[in-house]
Amino acid sequence: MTGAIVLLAAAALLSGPLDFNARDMRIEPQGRRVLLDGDVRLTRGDLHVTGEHAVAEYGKQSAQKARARKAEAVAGGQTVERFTVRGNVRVQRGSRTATGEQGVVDVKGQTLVLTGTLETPPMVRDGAETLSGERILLRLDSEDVDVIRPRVVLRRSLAEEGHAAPPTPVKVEADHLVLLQARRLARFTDDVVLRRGDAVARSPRMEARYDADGQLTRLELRGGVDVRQGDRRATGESADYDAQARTLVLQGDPKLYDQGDVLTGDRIDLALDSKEVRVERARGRLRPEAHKREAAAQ
Amino acid sequence: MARGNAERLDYRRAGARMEAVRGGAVIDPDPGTGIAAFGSVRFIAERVEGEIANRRGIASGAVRVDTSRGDTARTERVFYDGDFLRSDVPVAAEGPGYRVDGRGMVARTDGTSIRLTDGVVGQLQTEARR
Repeated sequence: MTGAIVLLAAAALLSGPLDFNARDMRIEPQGRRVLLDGDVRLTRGDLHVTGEHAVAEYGKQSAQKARARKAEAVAGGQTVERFTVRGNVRVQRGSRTATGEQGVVDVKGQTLVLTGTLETPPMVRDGAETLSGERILLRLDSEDVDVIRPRVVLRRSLAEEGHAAPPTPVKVEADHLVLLQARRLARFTDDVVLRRGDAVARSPRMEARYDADGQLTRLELRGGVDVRQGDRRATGESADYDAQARTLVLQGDPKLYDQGDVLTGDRIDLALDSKEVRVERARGRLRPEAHKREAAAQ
Repeated sequence: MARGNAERLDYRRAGARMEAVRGGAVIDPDPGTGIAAFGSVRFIAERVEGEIANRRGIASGAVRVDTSRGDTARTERVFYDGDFLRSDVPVAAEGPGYRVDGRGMVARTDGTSIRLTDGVVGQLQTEARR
């Protein structure tokens, strides 16, 4: 997913002309802005932004600077500092798209901020991969993306070779997400919730690591982890999810609670598919009577 | 204030009708008005007909408007009806930070709004932080 978002964001908006199409264009010289209406399309290289309306705001010049640059102004020396595109906003680069209700391009800050509504949040798509959130900030001069209250579905990362059934998606929610492509890293912070099938893990922070192809390799949860799957609960200071093996390894005073059983050890491995558990240097309390129904069911 | 010249000018006092060939005019807007943002506005056309008393007219043939701010607009025909300038043929305009081609135009004569209509294509200049 990181790779997808990064490629989208890599369309840096450098100095120079931005092509546009629209139904109408209104120039408001006093307001130092240009308004585009109806099927607006802004194009820069292979970056395309479309929407229903757009406002281009020109930078303000101080009187002194304006006098100094009079000759340049006559020749066309003013530039747009900010674009606001509204209504079914769509950002496209190659096969990747981002959508929202409003997109604001800060040319000086080199950012594109997408927002939406509760019903239609801003979203980035790359094939089957999707990322949505309350607010998505795409940096145009680097490969980083900043997401407020992200909701991520990690599909591509879960290719389960040899399995006929579709892969189980991993869904991630958090208050904040920063994608750092140079480090192939997605950093989720504040109330991170990870869901995969009936397993739910909660943690204050989590980092997702990707390979060069954009495939998820590892999830690292830190700062205290609470995992629940059915009646089973596991806790620890940290947890690492291996995307290839689909196992979650809890460390740091890990504990497993399962229908009256309480186990602790140096490390607890949870296999999310088979639901098998392995505890290293295990110690704890087992209550066989609590599992009688399971035995009868088998 | 406006001042103008023409290669030939016919003026009929009755109805204040005017016809000019290869005419031009320069408007120096009053400070603080909407059009003042453009500075002086220079206007030329192959042919200009109008009724001054009724504030109506039409300019045709290589109509061109230049402003001291750096805007230029070109078209083949413009109608004037007091508060608005209108064109129903293609208009090409460029100025500080923009260049645009439209299929028509509606502009307020006080300069507060210039609208190119019916399909516009152009460029906007951007400048990233250095």
